[in-house]
Amino acid sequence: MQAGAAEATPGRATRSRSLRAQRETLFYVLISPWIIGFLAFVFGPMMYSGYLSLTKWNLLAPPQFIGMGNYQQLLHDPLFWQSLKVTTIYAVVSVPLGLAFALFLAVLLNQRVRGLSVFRTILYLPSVVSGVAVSVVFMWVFNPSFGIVNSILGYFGIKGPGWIESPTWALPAMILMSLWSVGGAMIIFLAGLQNVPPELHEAAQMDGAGMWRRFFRVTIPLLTPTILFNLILSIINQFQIFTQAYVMTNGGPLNATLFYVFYLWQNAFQYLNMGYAAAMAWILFLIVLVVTVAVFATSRKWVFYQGGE
Amino acid sequence: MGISRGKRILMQGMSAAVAMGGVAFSWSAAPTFAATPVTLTVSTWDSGAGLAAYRLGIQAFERMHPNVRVQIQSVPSTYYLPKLLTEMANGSAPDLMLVGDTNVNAFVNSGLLENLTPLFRQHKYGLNAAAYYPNVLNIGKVGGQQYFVPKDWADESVIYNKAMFQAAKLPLPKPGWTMAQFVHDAVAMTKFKNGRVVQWGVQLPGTWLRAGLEYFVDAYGGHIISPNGRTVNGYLNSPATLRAIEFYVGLYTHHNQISPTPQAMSGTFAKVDLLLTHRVAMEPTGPWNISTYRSDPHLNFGVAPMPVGPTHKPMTTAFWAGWGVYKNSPHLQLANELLAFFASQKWASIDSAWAMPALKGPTVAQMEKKDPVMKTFFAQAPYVQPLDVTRTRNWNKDVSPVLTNLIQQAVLQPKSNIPALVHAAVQQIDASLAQSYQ
Amino acid sequence: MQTRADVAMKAVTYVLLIICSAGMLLPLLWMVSSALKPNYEVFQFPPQWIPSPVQWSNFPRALNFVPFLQFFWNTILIAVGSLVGSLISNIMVGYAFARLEARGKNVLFYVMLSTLMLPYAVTMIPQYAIFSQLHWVNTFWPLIVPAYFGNPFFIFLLRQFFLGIPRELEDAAAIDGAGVFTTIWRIILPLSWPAIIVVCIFQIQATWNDLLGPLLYLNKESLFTLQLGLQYFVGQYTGGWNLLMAASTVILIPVLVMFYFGQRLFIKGIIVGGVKG
Repeated sequence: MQAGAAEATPGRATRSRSLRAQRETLFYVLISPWIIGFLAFVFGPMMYSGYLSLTKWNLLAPPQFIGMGNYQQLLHDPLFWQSLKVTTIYAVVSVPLGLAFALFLAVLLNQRVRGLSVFRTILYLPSVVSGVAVSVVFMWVFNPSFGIVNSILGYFGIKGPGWIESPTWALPAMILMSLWSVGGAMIIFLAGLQNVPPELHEAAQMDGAGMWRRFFRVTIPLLTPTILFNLILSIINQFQIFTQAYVMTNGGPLNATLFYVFYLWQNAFQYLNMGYAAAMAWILFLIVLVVTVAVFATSRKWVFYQGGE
Repeated sequence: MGISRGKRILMQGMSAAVAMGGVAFSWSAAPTFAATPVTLTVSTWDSGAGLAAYRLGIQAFERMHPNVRVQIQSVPSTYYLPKLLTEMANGSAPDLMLVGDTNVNAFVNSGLLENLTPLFRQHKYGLNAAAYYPNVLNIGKVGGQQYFVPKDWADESVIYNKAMFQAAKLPLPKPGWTMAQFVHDAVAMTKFKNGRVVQWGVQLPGTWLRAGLEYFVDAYGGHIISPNGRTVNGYLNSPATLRAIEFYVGLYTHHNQISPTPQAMSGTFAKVDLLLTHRVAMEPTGPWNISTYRSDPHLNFGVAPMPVGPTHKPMTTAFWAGWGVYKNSPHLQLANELLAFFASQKWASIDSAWAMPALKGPTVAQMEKKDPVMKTFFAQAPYVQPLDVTRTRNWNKDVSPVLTNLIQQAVLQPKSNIPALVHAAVQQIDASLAQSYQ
Repeated sequence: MQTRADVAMKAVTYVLLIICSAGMLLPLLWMVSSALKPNYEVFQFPPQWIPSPVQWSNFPRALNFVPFLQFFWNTILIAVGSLVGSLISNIMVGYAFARLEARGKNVLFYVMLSTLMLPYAVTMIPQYAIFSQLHWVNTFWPLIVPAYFGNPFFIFLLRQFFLGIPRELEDAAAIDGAGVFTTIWRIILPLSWPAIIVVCIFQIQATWNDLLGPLLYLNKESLFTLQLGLQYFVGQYTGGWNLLMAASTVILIPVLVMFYFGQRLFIKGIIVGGVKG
């Protein structure tokens, strides 16, 4: 990141150095809450889990150090590969789909129409509901013979699939379900849209830019910081999808929804194999870290900050 | 200067924040038990209405021990083990903990549980093995030593819709009825409309191993795993067990949709008792929903023992959970006394409003007299089979997922060669067991 | 003046909004309808959308089934306690990452984000050990205090919004001699009002829907939160699905009301921003 505008003001070298030192101190003072919290509550547990990944631990007896044993075993575990495959497919499809849908809804909700508050609340509603009720509701939504989805498809003369009861369709069902709760990303986009000054739109309109042109030339560039945020966060979150498998499908049928973190959780708390789970966690950590850093690297080309970076 | 000013505001902000938190804390701390010297913690996955029994029981116990407070730690079943294991790993487990049958062996192996055998031998605190249904008490034993005392128990019986039997002009199932009759009735009561099932003959337990496959293996005289828990070779692939698996899978594949599929049972119907939807004639299950059946004015139901298999012996499988005492409890003796309380007639009489006591005696006699449905459930006690799950260290990891997959595969691909699938399962399980016993 | 194209646009917007809203609402209607049925009718199929008879008594029964008011207050306490901390810490840290230069800033930023990438299942036990050492088990502290140390999600969100604010405004303020907190208070906050509201909504909702945290750290019933109360309806000897649905519906309402009023402030944000900008 480049130096801030204020520092670019010409001045004597010593003065600028002390100013820079002050700014650095200020930076560390301001982020100190996070640093303290990180050192107190997060760093230790992370390092400990790294150590655990080198042990065999059933949570009841003390951990036994086994070196890279868990990692070697993972390479030969078909369920590990299955869970990685399922999760990757899920993430690759649901991340762009979810973002596009959230953005679409946010743009709709940014129009000047009556009843906007009500529409916003309704569209956000699904992300507020949580827990068992949702899983029960969705089991009925996806029922092959009388669920809502297949009833609607039937209305158009399409015979719907078995959804969560079918090894082929269970994963698509999970992706479809993820669209239901895009309210979080939607509301962040909506907040981002507030930062698009109406004057810019008016100016573009004067220049004869049509609706689509304005959207892609004015709205989208100003929204790129928000898009970057939603993209990164949804990558991090979708790779860790867990609850749906835990409360709805139990990873089935035939491991079609054996999501990575669900398999990890099973290893940790059902199979009493915490060392193995920790090794899985660190592999996922590295994967997501690499993807995130790659996205950040490209972001320099497409993210535009009004305040400069 | 910006920084000092910044620091001052920062400090003010932080202290305000801490003060806010402090207010929050002092409100929350209103009910304190600081005056009492000893607190015992009891963990259970029962919740809601099920806790009423605990509250009454604990009141009674606290009256007997005025210096003791008992705190219930109620954790929903999906998160029960994660929380309990977290506490155990932290060395701060509850003094008394409820453990399910599939974890009995692992918990005993950890050496973190008190061996109760001497207490029973000396009849300490009134503990008496003879007062229990022997097969129900034995589930809490590992290597011949008693580590768990059953909280209560339940067994599997067939609950059926009388009206559907009458409509199909079938005799109601009686003790001693056979698997062949069971299948015949299920087929006869399965109804279609426009090619779609509108009524199933039976709601089979799908991949719920305890109620499904495990019962049928017992009924065919087979076993899943060796007595020492180290191999399934010669057990899971023994002729009897193989025939049981073929029979169980065949219930789905040889007959035209007499039951919802295992996928449906772990999908749409995972939380549903289909008897309550009036769409199914029979359901092999425990007694948990009896009171809900009774709340439905249109449901006329009855109960029969499980159909007998080729062994011609009456059998049932137990649903079981037991109390274990945490060895590192700072109040071990009181914890033992609390355990003994949960093994007393007093507790049985309180708990009987919600569950089936494992202790024989006046309470059970009264329940049997009052309620013919419960009488059928209690009558199965002598036929409860020992559970294969308590034989091995890590059933949940080594055995259960492979069997679940086996059933799903065999049902989803009706042409599959079951002996070959079983053979593959044996290899897989044994490899996994070898690791657990390394 | 409205052109014909504008009217057509409006019509299309309405149609799309109504279709999307219907899709989002349908599953919830089943939830509400189940909340009004007798227990044995909940899973009837094909599903009956309009219960007959409508059993309103489920709502009072559900609310009396658990000490709801107590759980409600506990949840509010945790929500308010952590909201205060969340706002203070996240705004400070987010501003620093957006505007101040320092060696190691990039690395620290990645380290911060990376803490979101390790699944909680494997840090849960050591973290429990820390809070247990502090004797915080069975108190609200583990649920409130961490909020005072910033949350990477919010820090990143705020950083993105702060970066979108033109720098010139701050420079002008700096020339006037304003310190960093004055700048945040007078310039940054008014211009990023929508983002702050999003943080508030998410923080409160996170507390509202948190199950695992309260589940791990709270044992005494007198400390339970609403989500723990909901668990009372799930289990063997419970009130039943109709009551669960009724309770779930009721729990929704406070968050919805908060959201409804929260999102209305979005518009005010523009006005303030517009005047200043």
